[in-house]
Amino acid sequence: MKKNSFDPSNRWVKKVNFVKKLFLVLLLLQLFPVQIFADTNQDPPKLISLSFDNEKLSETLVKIEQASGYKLVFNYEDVESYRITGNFVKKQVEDVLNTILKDKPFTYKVQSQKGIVVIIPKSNNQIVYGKVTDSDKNPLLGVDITIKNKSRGTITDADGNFQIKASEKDILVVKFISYKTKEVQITDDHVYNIQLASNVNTLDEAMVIAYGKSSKRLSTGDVSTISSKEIEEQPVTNILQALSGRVPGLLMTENSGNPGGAVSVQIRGVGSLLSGTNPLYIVDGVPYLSDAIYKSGGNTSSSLAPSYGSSPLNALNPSDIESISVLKDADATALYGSKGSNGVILITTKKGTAGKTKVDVSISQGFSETSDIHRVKPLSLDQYLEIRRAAYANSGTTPTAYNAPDLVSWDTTGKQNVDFMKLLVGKTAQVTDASTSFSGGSQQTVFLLSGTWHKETSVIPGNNYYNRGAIHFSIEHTSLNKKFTATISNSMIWDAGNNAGQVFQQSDLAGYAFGLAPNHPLYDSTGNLYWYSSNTSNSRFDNPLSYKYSTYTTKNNNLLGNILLKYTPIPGLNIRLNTSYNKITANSKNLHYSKGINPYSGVLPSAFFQENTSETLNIEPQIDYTQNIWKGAFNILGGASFQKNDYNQPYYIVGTNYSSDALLNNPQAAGSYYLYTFSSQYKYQSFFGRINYNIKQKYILNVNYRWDASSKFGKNNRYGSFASVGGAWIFSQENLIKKNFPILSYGKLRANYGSTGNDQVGNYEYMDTYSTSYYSYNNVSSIVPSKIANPDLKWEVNKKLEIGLDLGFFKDRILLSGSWFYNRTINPIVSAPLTTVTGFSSYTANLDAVIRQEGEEFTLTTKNIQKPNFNWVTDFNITFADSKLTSFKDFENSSYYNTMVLGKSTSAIYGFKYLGIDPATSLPKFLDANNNGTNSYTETYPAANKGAGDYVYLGKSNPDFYGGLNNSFSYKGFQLDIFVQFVGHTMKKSIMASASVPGYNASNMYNGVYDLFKETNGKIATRTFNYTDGSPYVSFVKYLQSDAVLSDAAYARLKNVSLSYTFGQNLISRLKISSAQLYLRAQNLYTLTKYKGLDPETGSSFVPPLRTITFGVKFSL
Amino acid sequence: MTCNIKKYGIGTLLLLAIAILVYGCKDFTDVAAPSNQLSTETVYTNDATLNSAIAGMYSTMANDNAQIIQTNLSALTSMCADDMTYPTGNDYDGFVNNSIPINDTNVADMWAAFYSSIYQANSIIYGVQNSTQGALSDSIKQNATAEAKFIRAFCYFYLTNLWGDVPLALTTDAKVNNSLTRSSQSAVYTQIIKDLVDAKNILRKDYFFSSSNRTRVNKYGAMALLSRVYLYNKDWKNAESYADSVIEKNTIYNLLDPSEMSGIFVQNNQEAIWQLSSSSTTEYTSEGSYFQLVNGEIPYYALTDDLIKNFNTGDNRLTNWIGTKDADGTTWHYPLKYKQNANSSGATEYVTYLRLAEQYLIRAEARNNQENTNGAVLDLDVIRNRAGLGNFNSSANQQAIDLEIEKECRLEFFAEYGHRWFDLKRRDRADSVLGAQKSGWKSSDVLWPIPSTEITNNHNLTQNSGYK
Repeated sequence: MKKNSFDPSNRWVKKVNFVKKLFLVLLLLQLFPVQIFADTNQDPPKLISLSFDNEKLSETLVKIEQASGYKLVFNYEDVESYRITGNFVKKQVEDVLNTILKDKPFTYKVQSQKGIVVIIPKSNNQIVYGKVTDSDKNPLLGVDITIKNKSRGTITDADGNFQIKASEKDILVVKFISYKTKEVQITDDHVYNIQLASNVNTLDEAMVIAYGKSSKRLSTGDVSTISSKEIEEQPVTNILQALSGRVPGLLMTENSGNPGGAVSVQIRGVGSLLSGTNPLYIVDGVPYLSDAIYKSGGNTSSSLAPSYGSSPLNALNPSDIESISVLKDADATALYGSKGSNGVILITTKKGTAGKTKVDVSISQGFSETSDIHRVKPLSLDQYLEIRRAAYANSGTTPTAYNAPDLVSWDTTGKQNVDFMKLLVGKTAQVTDASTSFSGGSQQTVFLLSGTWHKETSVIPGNNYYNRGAIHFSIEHTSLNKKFTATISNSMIWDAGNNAGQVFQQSDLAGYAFGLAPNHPLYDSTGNLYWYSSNTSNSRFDNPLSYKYSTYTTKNNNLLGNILLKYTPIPGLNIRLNTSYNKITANSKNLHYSKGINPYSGVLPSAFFQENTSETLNIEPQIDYTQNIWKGAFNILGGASFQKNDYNQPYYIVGTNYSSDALLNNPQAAGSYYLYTFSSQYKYQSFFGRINYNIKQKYILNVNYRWDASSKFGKNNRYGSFASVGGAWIFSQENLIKKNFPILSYGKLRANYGSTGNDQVGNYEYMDTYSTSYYSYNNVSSIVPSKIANPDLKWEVNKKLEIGLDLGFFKDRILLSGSWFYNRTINPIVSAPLTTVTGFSSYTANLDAVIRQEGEEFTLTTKNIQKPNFNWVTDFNITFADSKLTSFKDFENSSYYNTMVLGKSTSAIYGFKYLGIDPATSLPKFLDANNNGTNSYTETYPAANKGAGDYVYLGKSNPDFYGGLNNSFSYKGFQLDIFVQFVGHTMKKSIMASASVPGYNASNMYNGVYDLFKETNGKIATRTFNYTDGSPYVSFVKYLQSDAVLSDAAYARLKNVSLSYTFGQNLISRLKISSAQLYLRAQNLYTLTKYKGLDPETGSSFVPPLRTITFGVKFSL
Repeated sequence: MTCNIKKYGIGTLLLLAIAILVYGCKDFTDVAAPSNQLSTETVYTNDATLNSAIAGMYSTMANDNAQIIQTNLSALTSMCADDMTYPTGNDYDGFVNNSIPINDTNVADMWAAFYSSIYQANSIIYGVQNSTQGALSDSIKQNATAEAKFIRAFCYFYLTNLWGDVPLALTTDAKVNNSLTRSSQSAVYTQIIKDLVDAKNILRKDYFFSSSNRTRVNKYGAMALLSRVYLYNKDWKNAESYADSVIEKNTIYNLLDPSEMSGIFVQNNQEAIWQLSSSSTTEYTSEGSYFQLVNGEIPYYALTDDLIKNFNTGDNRLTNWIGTKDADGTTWHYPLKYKQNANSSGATEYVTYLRLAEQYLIRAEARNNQENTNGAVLDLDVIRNRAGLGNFNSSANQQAIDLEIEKECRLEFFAEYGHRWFDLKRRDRADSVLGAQKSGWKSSDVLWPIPSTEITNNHNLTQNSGYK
């Protein structure tokens, strides 16, 4: 089982050279990327000197092989039993072999031009040897070798070698899945080097899986992959946005159209009550932050964060990403043990490829605007005034300048006529991207170096922006004997932005604009911002332009480094060591200048400063070995993982009462300031293993096991085991199917079952801790117990079952795939109530409860037209999934009893059932669900639970279905992709959720309220605060908690259109470049929905996802 | 095809390196504590953090739970008895009418506040006990345990007097404490006495640990509470002897002069045995703040006419400790023992849980019950004279003296931490005194309801009779 005897050069010297060279690489590779490793030692065959003292023939042959430089091919078992004694000085190889084989049942054949000597048993000279490789000369394992029209057959080993009994004129049939079948005529030659040409189709594209690679065809688990092409086509800031609608089972929701805003990702519904629901992100093997940095590690002492959230994935550069794999079922995720329960997203960055040095340049410019800015409208000035006046009349109160400036002091004739939405979120933003990369290398060394720049401005007026710069490089070197590979990759990303996100201030300017009284003045007579005393408690907002005088800036630095060492001592055995490091630093600053503060409030300027860091160190040694056993290829993987995370917040400083705006940047100049710090640590270790057995590309068995220890849990429960078993049967390989269903080109049935865990709780939750107290006692600073110990706290276990069927028809022109999954979260982590006798009212604990996630996913890919010049491919996917609470011990005593019902969706919406206007009172009427004669505001328990409350099940907010449809056309140089994303769900009319009782405040609201106002003959408007049942005030409050404000929020969104033109060879060669492309890309072009709100995706009144159109050019030198 | 181990040298080394790494990382998952939190273990590894934990134990009572175990403890018990009403504002009907709902949040808050202090005390007792030998200096360690035992006894005293039989949490283990049953009142008292005797034996006589401030309990604090506990248990002999010890310590403790009476709660005054220092940020006490609050002209907390009419005109306590407000033709009286409030600057007052006057009245009652009526009247007169009243009839019989002691207790300690309510209950006078004044009075009203959420969260707990 040797591969390298072709190379006779001295190994030791080469090793020393290699180490030296490795250091040189690190320093100089960018300057001399190609030539360093050229190695031209080629010794001719030579005379050999050897002596043997009753040695095994096999050892003798190995020594001859080493000494001669020839490769000796023989069957180990055949020669094992013979012993050799002899002494040879400066002999030819032939002489030595003649002597030692003289009285043995062997002969030999030298093939000088191939450097091979074949040892042939005399008894049977029909044996042939061979090696099967791909077009890059990589050995292929498990290749099917048969003799045409005979039943005899074998498969290749990890080195690609095979041997088979054959006679002259026999024909070898060499068959391997996803390669073109080859037939080889046997001649008098005994050795055959066979190269197979690949026959790649989408089923066989390499797919990154947990600690390895696979393909759609051979995978036993449920993995979806997004390629760099699909990411590039979308002008997105955050790579997660590129996943929207493209991965079945993955629901991506943007929280806001603000650049750098939070993006939430949920894979197959929520299986947890208190723990996090984020998937596990792994970037080049490094576990990456899933929480926004200011929250990571369980930090609750930081407040300086954008109100629209932030996503740590913003600090990754989309154009540096090679592929994203989304792992969903137990088979795919079990190797991530206690962290894989919410699914795993594997992000792989780009690496260089061998060949001519290539320079790629891409530049684009685009524009963004708030889409559907006027989808819903607020009350007109006349409607608004009518309701306000009615409220005062109904309550018998007289409007005064003090309590109703909008009726008394402000202009009621409509002279101002400012479109606040247009003013606050209506600007056109600009998006600029530029990137360049250099890549290339030799067979031994490849490299990639890229730099990118992204800048976008905001739809909010003022100089708001989000910038990002990134440098990424990757170098991979393989030693001459191909046994040693070292890969280094590194990304440095810097981003900075400023926005209207502020501490303690209204920063959702879309909501702000919508709720502003239509006649709210912007400026006073002197041209300064208009203010009035907000002491009257009837105004909701300050001057909308005040945000201009508060600056909020953030700055993030992200360093991602990764070194992978791989050693392959013998074919099939790989030893790897993967070391990675990630550090993210975030700085934020928020200054409130006096000009933006209501002078009537008496508040002085203030400033907030914050820094957060997160560091991850991860070391993963791994060994894997592939060997043929019986008729199949057997692969075993073993590994360990050591991870350490440190989260730090060196400061969060709140500085108040500044005497002057000029001093705001200096916290020490504050009248008073408080400092909050935070730090926490997380350590993790695990050992894992996988066994994969693939019999003839037909029957595949995959078993995973992982043992974890996590510092998040007490010593009693720190350790846990997770496992999965999965199998696939590629039944289209069965002759019976092939014969009877010729249209079926591919068919796979797969099933797997296993367990994963969820450890997304804060650090130290199991410990009893003391925290520093705000108060000191007798001038001694005091510490008080902050948490009671729960040494029994352990991770949630998610047991996952999946069954899937994948089909391909008409030579895989139609691919259909369906999966059904059934996951159960056992002992979910909750905030469990305690008697206060314990000193605390609750602690974090596992409860005896089960949450069930169940659903189906379907994907369909059809190659509708395949012509030389014209191609049309359609991809469609749809997911139906929901999470239900199925059992819960002592449910009625838990805090979840008020918000959940057993057997119902975890996202169920409960509220009053609206019965229309009661003619007796002219006020909204609601169902008395418990028939107790009253319909009190306090009867808010879900009726199904207590039989006591009037709240009833109104629906659920988890989508009923979601998915996407992509059509891809190519005609000559043109490529057009049209992608539609759709979600079927119900949501509250968010624009109503924040409404106040009609007429109560000087604030505007959704114009649908005017209909209610009319239906109630104006009675709903009131200025009287009254929670007595039957009052107009409480009637409206109940109205907001009823199904009257639920809206069908199903939508279909033309998410992405991408049109590109690639120039033909003629022009390219004239310009002396290797390729050129022009492209036009559009995001969030059009949304089809009946939803009554600004946006059916974000739901809240935040700035909806922006409509972006970019134009760009891309070329390679 | 062949094998040769020598060629796999690098692989062997890599494997070895991995093996060492794996072995070396056995305890890899032990993590450092967060910087803004301390694991309980690390608190008890040095004197400084132990001192901070003790400061925290007092500070929780003085600051975090101030409104609950100071203002509410005084006000709600006074309402349950016959000393206080609420003319306006909050809804305290349940207390005034002795019909407290089982889900009353004030009751639940007070229950939780005492148990949270008990958790702190238990944490200190077990933390010190389990600390590594030599990590803490002996004197600090012993004193800490003694102070924690005192605080635990103090909290159980209030728990058992408010609720009767209560769960006896003596560890920090949530699992154990979350399934306790209620211990009988006598078992609770046995534990209180045990803790107080332990504390008394170890605590210093002076106020060394609080730099001469009377804000950390000393030996006499433990003895003063012990004398009260023995009195409540009708162990007259012990009650008298511990009161003796405190009263005799006149180098530290003396009753304030009548002229100084308005400053009865001034910091470190001669009469104070144990005080809580108010927070450095608010500088005034919770009672100082709440009892002086008015809604328009009407105080939130008003003293009953029944209390006021028991004062003789010219009683120093009436003039020094009671404020008046006239509104709508009514004169409202409200407690004004604490003078400082949000408008004051510079802290001059401390919350005073134990003061010397009580020891005289305890000794008077103990002596009277041991047939020493002369001695009893002597002690009674000390309090009467200080209030500006003449001597009590020295030839009065034992029963008359007893009633007079009850009355002096009421006048001396109105609106102070439950004295009146507890006195009526322990003397079995609640039915006759309160039954006469309150229409809906039931004998079972002497105990508060166990907060309903507590029973929900621990099915081993039972409700007091009379509550559903």
